[in-house]
Amino acid sequence: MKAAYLGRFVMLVLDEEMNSKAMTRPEARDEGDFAVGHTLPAEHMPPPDSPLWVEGVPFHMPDPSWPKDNLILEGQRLALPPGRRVRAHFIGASDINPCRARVELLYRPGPPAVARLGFSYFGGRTAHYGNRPAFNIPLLRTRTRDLKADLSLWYQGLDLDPTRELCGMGLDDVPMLHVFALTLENPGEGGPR
Amino acid sequence: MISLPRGMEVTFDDRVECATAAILHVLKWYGVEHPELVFGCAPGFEFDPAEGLIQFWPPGWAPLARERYGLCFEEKNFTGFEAGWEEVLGRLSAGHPTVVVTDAYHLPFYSAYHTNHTGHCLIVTGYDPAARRVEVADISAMLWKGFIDLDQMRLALNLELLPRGQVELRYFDIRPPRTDPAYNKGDLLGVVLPRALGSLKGDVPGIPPHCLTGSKATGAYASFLPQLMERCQEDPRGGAAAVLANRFAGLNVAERRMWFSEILRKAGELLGLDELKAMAELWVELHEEWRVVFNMHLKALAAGPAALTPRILKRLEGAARLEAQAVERLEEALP
Repeated sequence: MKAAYLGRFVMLVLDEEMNSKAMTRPEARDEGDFAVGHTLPAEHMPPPDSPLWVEGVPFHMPDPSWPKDNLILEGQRLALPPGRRVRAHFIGASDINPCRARVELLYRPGPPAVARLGFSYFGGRTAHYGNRPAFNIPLLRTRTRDLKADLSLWYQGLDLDPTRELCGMGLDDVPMLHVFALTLENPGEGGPR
Repeated sequence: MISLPRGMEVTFDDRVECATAAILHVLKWYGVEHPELVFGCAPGFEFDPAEGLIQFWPPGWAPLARERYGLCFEEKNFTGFEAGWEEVLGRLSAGHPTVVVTDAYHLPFYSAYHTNHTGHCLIVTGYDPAARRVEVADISAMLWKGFIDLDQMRLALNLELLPRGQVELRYFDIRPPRTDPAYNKGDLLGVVLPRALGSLKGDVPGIPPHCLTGSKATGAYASFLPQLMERCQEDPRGGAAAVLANRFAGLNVAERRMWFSEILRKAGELLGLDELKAMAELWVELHEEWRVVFNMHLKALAAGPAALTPRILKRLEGAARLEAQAVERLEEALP
């Protein structure tokens, strides 16, 4: 998996892991499907050429021109650049209702640990599971037109075991949940926060 | 007598909660063949597997519904009864039934009459000004159609004792769709799903009914809570546990279900029973699992069932195992 390093943060580039298309341009509005055929307007998403900072954490956001730009949780296993990490930071959203999924944290040595990753509904303003708003999107792109809306992608952080090396994540099968970006945080001081 | 130009045949429908049932009924009366596919209902309700309120309202649904199908749906609230009632009568005179929200405490035909303040939706289908009687239809809690006095109706329409209820009249302004048959073949705008966990069978092809979970757990905690309340009342240390028991007593059935995990946790703390606290965690997990199953189900209905069916089945099996464990521990919880 590709990654970009910034201070103590490891911003993962998830292009090869993405399995769904959420962002579209007005001229190709039917090329994606985020929720019931609706998509997110690419021109209102954060630019992919510089990190998006949320809660003091940088994220490598997907490029809307990628054929797939988000990762739906479908029981897959993510191989991560191995290392001791203190925290995993996610940007994502649920396309139906607030929902949580089990995430198996694959460490070595030793057995995996289980954490819960939850995201709030992208069309609501109520944060669940300790989510914080990552950024707002003012439009919903339907198959026929753009509608004024107040949409959100959400931030959630998960604590990790820094005494062991994290080498992967086993994701639950919860297809309502979409991950747009994932950053790992190394222990120690330094780096922007 | 003001009544609908063509009568309304009412049929019992407890698959969905009362607001949704009433709204779907009115839409069918208007001629919408499959309102559950184009009309997500009851704004303000959150998905809650314990309560069984399951509906999905995609953002932007309302303007799309209006633009494409001419369907109009709007919640209207009045702080004064007269102005609101005048609108309801105006709608009736124009031939439109109206879905109103009531406090069932004041509905003489309803089980909560003079016992429990709880919200309930009815359809107003007529009014007799000479006798000051309102014709209403209740299609979800029970099948009942008849007249109630306007004074009683006025009390029932005052929602100040309910959550979000600082109004004296609330109705749903539903206008008929255009008579364009295309709406029945149109894009999916929203989905309304059945209410009870046990009634999901058949919605998604390939999901056998025996895989469904929920009813066993619902029965278990319904019978467990009174025992727990009694135990709190009898707690020799008195004080906080008794206060908690009194607070249980003040909750209506839906609230008890919704807050079940929290009640377990709190009671466990106050009674010093670690088992209750551990069970609270298990029930949180079970509720999460139900949430996932229902949302997958919802997604399957919205996006096409084929791809999700085996995954829902697998998930249901896990939920059923967890439910069995939660119920078993509940049965052993109070020594």
